[in-house]
Amino acid sequence: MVFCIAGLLIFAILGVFSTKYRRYFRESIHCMRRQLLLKPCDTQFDQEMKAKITANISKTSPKLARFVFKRFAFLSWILLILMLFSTAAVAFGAYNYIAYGNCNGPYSSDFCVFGALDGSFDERVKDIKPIEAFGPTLGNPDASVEIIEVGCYACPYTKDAEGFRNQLLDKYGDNVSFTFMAMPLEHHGLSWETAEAAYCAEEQKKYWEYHDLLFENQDSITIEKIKELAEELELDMNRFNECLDDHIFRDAVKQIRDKAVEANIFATPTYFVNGRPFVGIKAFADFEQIVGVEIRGSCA
Amino acid sequence: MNVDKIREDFPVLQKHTYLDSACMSLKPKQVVEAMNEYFYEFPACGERSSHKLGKRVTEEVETARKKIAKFVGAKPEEIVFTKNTTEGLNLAANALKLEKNDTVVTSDKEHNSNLLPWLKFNHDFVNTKSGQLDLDLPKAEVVSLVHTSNIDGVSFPVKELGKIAHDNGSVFVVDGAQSAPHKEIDVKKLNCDIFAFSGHKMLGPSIGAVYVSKDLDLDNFLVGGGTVANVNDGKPTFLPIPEAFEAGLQNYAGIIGFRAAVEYLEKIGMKNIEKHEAGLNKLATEQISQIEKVSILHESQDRSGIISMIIEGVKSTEASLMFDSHGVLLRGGHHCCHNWFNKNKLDGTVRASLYLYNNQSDVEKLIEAAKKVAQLG
Repeated sequence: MVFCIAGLLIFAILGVFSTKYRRYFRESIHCMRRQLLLKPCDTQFDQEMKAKITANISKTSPKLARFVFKRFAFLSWILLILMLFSTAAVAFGAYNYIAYGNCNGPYSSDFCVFGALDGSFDERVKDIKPIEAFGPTLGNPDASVEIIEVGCYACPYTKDAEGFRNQLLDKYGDNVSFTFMAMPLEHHGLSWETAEAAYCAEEQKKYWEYHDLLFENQDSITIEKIKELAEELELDMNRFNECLDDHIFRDAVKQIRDKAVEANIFATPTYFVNGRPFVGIKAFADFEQIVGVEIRGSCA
Repeated sequence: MNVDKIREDFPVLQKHTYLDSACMSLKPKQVVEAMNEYFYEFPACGERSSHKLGKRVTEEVETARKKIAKFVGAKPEEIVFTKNTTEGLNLAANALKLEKNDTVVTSDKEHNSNLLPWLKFNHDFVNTKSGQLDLDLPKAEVVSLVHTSNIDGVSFPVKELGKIAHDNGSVFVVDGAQSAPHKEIDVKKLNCDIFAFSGHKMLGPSIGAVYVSKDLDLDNFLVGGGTVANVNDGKPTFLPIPEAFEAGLQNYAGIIGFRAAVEYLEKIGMKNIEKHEAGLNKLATEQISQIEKVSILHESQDRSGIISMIIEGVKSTEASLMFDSHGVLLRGGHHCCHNWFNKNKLDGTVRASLYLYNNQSDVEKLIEAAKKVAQLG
């Protein structure tokens, strides 16, 4: 019964690509219909799937095959629960996409697979205009390759991409300059405060150290934590607190955000390499390709 | 006996390791071609139409009847074509002039086809021990026994049991579905009055035949076209056996294919086939009995070409699917013998059944697959 339901979803998808799976799909429908009518499944569907799966596993790992064979019903339950959960998540995302234009919900600019699937993601990337660098810069300010990252201190995707900065500087040295511009996003808590705090730290020449601490502590960030991190860097706390509490850099941050919105930036982090926008970079290898082309181009 | 050459006649064997011949045997090209000849050359009615094609069909059917009769040591007029062994046994249960209170004895190891037709009478079991019957039968109007069991391949000493049955005044019926394909049969020597068997278990198409002794006094079973010489004022004049039992148009292509199958078997020789299967079974038994968690049902008995396995911790139906996934096609379950399995509190067995076209490589694949399935238990 359990595998009938799980199989229904799996084989509905696989059946698009192969007739072999369409037979399994029909069997799983038949099996589930009988189960709903409180009749036993009469096609041996569960047993056939169990046999096929365990026989295939046993070719490489008899022990694992035995484990699966003995606990097939239990594993089917886990599979079913995971599938129901993921189906519900997809349905929720689809609802958000229809209602708000983004699968992550209202006011979100995070990556949405539906947008990528229907081509709107690529269209939106094309609409992004170059942005002028503002704020602290690492590397060679006169480098041939200028890299700007527009990110948010409260955004988990920006945090995930944090390692790229040092990798870029290590690999390309004086050939690149790197600027981080904080773009607060309303749906991320304390995104404005963290952006302002970073510029408060920059006032005391500790921008990049504080920048790193903000990302390291992203999951537990509070106003108190923002101040604790500043203390950790032995900043002048009177000045820092005054800067933060009086929102000295609110206008500056707002200007950056307005520029980003004007440039049609819709997700963080967005990178600009010599003005060309890139959204959703997931691997350093992508940077190597992009930056490599720019460096070779500048040498030609 | 050149098995490699035989295998060339069975194209299916190029793709599959087929060990389910006790259920359905494969068909050689010669059988398919003989049937196709009927469909292409003379696809008409037999024994009715007097045109050229009709005559050809009648000739072919009677030639087949002669061949098949000779194959089991009977006279042509003693062979009735049926759908299968099941219909042959139902014919016996319905055509023998029995009263409801008459006693019918079967073994406890019968296929449902040789059990269910008899339950409307005063039915009784004789019990097997380690798969075999003692030479002792109670008095009864009918004794109906399987010759070779499809559960384990063990053959009953039907010749001796038939003599005992006759001495007791019983009609002796034999289910020959699993014996006729694998050993020489002479119904006269077996002392049986009725012997039912199937074409599809002996290289033929889905068809059956039943030997009916001329000495029996029988009622009609299925009646209709072809069974009567005349009907006058609502009173039919029935034809003699076999026509009296062959109602309606017959499966002519099946009968012709059955003849071709019998010719194929005769050419190879039933003694050779029996010896070949016994050799393969010995090899399989020696190896499989060494596998932990696998036991062979009634291992010590002479089991024809059948290896019926019980795998500890794996249901028989699941095990058969596992074998399938490992590329070995065989059968799991109760093999239509629910009564015996329930009585012995067994879940079922995984049954490999060998035939003339199986070779040592098939047996080796069976052994390897058995090892893998046993690891799951």
